Amino acid sequence: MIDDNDQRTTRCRRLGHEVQFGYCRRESEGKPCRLILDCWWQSFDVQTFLRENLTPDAYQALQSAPTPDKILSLYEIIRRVCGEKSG
Amino acid sequence: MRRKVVLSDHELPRQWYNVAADLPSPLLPPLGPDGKPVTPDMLAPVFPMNIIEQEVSTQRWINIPEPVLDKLALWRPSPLYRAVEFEKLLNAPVKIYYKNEGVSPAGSHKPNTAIAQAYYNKEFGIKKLTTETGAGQWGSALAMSCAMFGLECKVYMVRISFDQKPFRKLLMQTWGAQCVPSPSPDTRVGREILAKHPDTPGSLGIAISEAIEEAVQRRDTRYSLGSVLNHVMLHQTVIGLEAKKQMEKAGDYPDVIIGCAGGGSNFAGLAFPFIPDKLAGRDIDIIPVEPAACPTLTRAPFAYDHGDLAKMTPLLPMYSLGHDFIPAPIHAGGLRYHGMAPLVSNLVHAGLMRPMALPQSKCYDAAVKWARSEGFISAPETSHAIAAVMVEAEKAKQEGKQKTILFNWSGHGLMDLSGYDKYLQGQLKDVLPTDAEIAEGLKCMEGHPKP
Repeated sequence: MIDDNDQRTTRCRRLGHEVQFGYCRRESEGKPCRLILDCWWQSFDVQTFLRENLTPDAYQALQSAPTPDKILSLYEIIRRVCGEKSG
Repeated sequence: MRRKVVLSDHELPRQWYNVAADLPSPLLPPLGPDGKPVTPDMLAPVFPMNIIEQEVSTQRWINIPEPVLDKLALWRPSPLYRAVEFEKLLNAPVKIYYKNEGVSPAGSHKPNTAIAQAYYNKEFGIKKLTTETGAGQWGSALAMSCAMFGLECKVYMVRISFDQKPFRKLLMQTWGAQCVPSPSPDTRVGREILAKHPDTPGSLGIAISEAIEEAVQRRDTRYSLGSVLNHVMLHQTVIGLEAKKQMEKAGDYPDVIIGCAGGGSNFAGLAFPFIPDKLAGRDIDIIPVEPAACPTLTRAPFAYDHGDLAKMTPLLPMYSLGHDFIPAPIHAGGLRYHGMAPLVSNLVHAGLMRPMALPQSKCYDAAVKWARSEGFISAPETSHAIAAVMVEAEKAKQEGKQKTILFNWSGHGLMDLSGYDKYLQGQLKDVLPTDAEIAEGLKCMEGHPKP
């Protein structure tokens, strides 16, 4: 079941406090956090678990999650917001 | 034995040290989808020009404005301690010194840059700063700094953190900041997400988008960031500049310098001012410490690589183990992560620093030993530095060499004790990737341009 591991906890290095796996697998507007493999591999076989419980596209998208440069990611947000503002 | 070395107010450094002036090779900008560099001046909608000028500056020394010095002097110069009891515990031929950055009102090193950023925004005519926060360390630091300079401050705090960390939220509010759970109804992105997912716990990505959206849409508002970028590292160098004076007063000089490196700012703050001495031939071992779960600095090469398996993102100069590195069976996806400051990455690449990765159980073990000898309860991140001190002390014992170790005690952990709870209950375990798994991951970068 997709929620089998939801009660597991770990420290989120982005937020700076404990979170449950259930949060990590829905962090990005219902989709997994891009760091979910990074943060959970020490706790259980998260790769197999996600491969078996996500659609192939969702699993592929997770593995394709970008590793953003900070300046680049800020620039992308600015471009998006400015685009919405003018549009 | 002398327990600590303190400096007077007038001995606070008057200039920051900019390591960009001394880099063996220039920083490489990220390449955009069009293959052209994305440069800091493109961030003008969210940062004032005086901060962007610092972001790109290669001037070695930059004056610290008097109003900034005046605020920093509330807790700076921070004391340099000799870890007498910890030395006894380790029983190794080492002298251990540490800068105590936990003495700031917010309890960490983060106000060193928050104060400066609040000042520069005020000077630029800005009335309000926005930012995002998780647990609230950075949000607290900025809230306090804005209060000191009469700026409004709005902190978008990730909803899950807002609910789980009520005390940090109260700190920010006590300092006068408006702290709202993100997503919020205050921004377009927040409203859209709330409409689709009314019960969402939020995310840091959403909170950043909200903070930037507000900054972009108001002429009197800008955004503030507490890690990674060059100007943040610059403002933190006050730590190492003080430490150099204090070590001199103690009649000593470090053989080893250690700091925990997440985004890199507290490590950079202590270590960068010692780089000119190292370049001049001084034998100093400078060690950024990172979690073994994501050892990007320690075990990955510096290369241009895509950040993603689909190769959709631009090529970035970074420490990478390969964009498709996910070894079986332990799935060290963490090895793809890099959130390290470009300046720190550059200096590691130049061979001026020797990164170390340590597993979390070893770090908590060190933090507990530290608490039971030196008394201070360390932030979880800070525990990495203490564990590295133990490694270096043991090494000195094995080599039979007398060494002086200096490290940055970057903050207290009084609001972050749950990790200690897990450690004390025996719930932490460590699993590390093998060399063979890492070697396999690197194959995909063959043929990429070299930085």
